Amino acid sequence: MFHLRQIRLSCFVPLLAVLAGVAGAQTEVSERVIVRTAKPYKKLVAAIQARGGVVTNQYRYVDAIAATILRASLSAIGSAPAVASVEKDLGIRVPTTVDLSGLGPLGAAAQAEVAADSVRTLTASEIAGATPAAYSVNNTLMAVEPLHNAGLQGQGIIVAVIDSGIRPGFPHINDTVIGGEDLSAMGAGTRISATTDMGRSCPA
Amino acid sequence: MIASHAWLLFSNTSTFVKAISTYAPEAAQPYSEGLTLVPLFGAAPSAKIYALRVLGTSNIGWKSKIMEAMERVIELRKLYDSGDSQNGLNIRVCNMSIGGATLASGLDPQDQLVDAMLAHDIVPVISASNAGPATLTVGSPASANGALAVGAASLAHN
Repeated sequence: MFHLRQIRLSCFVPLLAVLAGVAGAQTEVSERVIVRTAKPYKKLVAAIQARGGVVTNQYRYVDAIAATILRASLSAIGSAPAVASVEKDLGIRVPTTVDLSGLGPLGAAAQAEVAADSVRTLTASEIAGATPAAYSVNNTLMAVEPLHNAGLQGQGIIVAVIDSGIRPGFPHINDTVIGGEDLSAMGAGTRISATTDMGRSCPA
Repeated sequence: MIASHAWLLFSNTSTFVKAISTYAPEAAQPYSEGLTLVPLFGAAPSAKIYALRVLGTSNIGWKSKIMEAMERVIELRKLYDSGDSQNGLNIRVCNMSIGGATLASGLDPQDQLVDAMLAHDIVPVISASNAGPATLTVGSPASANGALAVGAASLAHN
């Protein structure tokens, strides 16, 4: 019995220590938030910093700032006179598959459609050998051909694509990508060349 | 499919192929083994793409980061318009195939940044989301007043 009691005690002591650690950590938990507040942001930024928060973005074209704020000081920041609202900064996940199961008979029909399809893109050599006699479906439906015949093909125009970056050398967009920026890794403003792999296999 | 070009192979039984055969029959070309070739040329094949990566390695994009990218797009265009061709870019269209649920259509900060883009002469083309058909399934920032929101015509291929 004595030995058993000793074992129990030796189990309890570290458990208590762990519980105390968790309780201590909870007061330090931070939340990523977007705070809606009118400009200028100076006072509110100072208030957030004074409470141990970090302001990560001060937006120019919308009245808002992004910050990481200690959970304990959220209510104090939220009730500051300049603050209109505090919302959680959402982590938006890219869906890998579309869930159709909740759609009942509609979903079953759609699943069958997916199963029947074998969409694949042609390889570079196949593209080189393909000579499409007709124009593409999207341009036909939009009646773009007269514009193209008039020499209007989007020269000098740049399309910004906010997504997961670009895989260099992807045949469909070769010579089309002029580069970009990796905001997920290094923030806005650092130009990346068109030949740099931004790290994801799916082209934007 | 604005600035790129691709040749896609679809099964002949595909709804997409059926739709093309109905509305633009000259665009669908028979390939081999029950497959149909659909050449997709961009509407603006000479346009260029500037990629702003906001989705990290785990495929999560923070809303605050997406907002930062949207502001950057406006900033690059403003620099171009001010004559700074070294740092600016002639961005006329912004594509966002990204979004999340919202209960504040038009009032969400992302939605308001879409309106700011339009005010700076940039056409925001944004996916409506993969959900639906049901109420409240159009995500933000497609829910913005100024968004050119793009939805799917087929449940399977949204």
